[in-house]
Amino acid sequence: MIRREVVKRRAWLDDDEYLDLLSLGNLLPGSNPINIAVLVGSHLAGWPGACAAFFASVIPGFAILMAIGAFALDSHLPWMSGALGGCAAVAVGLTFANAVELTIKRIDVVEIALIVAVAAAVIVFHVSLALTLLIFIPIALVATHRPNGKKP
Amino acid sequence: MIYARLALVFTILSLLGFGGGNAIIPQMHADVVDHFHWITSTQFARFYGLGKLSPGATTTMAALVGFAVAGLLGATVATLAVFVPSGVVVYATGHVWGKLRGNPWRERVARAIKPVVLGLIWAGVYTLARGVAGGPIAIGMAVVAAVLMLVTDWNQAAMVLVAGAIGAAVLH
Repeated sequence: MIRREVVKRRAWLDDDEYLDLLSLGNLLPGSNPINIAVLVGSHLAGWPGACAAFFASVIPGFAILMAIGAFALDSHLPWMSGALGGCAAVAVGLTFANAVELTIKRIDVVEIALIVAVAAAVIVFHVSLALTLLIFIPIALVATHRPNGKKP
Repeated sequence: MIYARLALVFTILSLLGFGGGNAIIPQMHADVVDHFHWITSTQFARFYGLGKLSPGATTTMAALVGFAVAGLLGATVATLAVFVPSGVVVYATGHVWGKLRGNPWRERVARAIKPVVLGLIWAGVYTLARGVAGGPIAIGMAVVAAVLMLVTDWNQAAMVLVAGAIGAAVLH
């Protein structure tokens, strides 16, 4: 959706530039939509552009959640509780499907082993996020390295 | 002080959130549910659902955690803490990134991070699923949503909205 808007409609970036920013936005800490917004804003108009894009991508969601939150969170109405429960169940189902989609793209045995090891470390051994990154990123750097640009 | 605690928890999540919002779900749950007991596991899953409903990043659910702990100011602190630090890192790195185009390390790091992030996302799915209340009906809704997402390209926020309506009618 962002691509359609910034590449196709407004021609702020070409496809290569966009993919370049997208790969960085995916790699760095932070939420992808916000990262992309900051990168596109900065690309177009330096730090004021980055700030404008940042707030423009954060404020609407924040405002909507506050509007919902203000009356939903303290509500003890049974239908409200049912509605929130429905949202939660389906959101988890969607994230599960997303994880399936991303995983079946990675048919490589080493990558699947890494995925399982990380998930097990966090679920079974409650390893913290910081420690997980510290342990597994160096392992992944070695394990997923393919010299001479050989395709996996 | 509660605001300082909120700021600290979400700043750390922000800086460690490689690979996007879903990868920080297990640690966010460990912090706000297991450690500080700010909210319950069920609330956590609900906030996540509302986060998916809102435009922009699902991580905006941090606003709801802040709101539950310390009202509107808490929500503002949590939101800024979860988005500003990573935003600054991204802004600073954006300039260097273009120059590294073609550098073999760029591709290598990007490839290494993917499976680690995916493991964290699976742990996040598990963490969230534990907080889903509502028994077989809720599980059925989750399964239907997963199948629909895999076979259609329907809008996710719209699916969550419909789920809210169905939940209001049948889940209580």
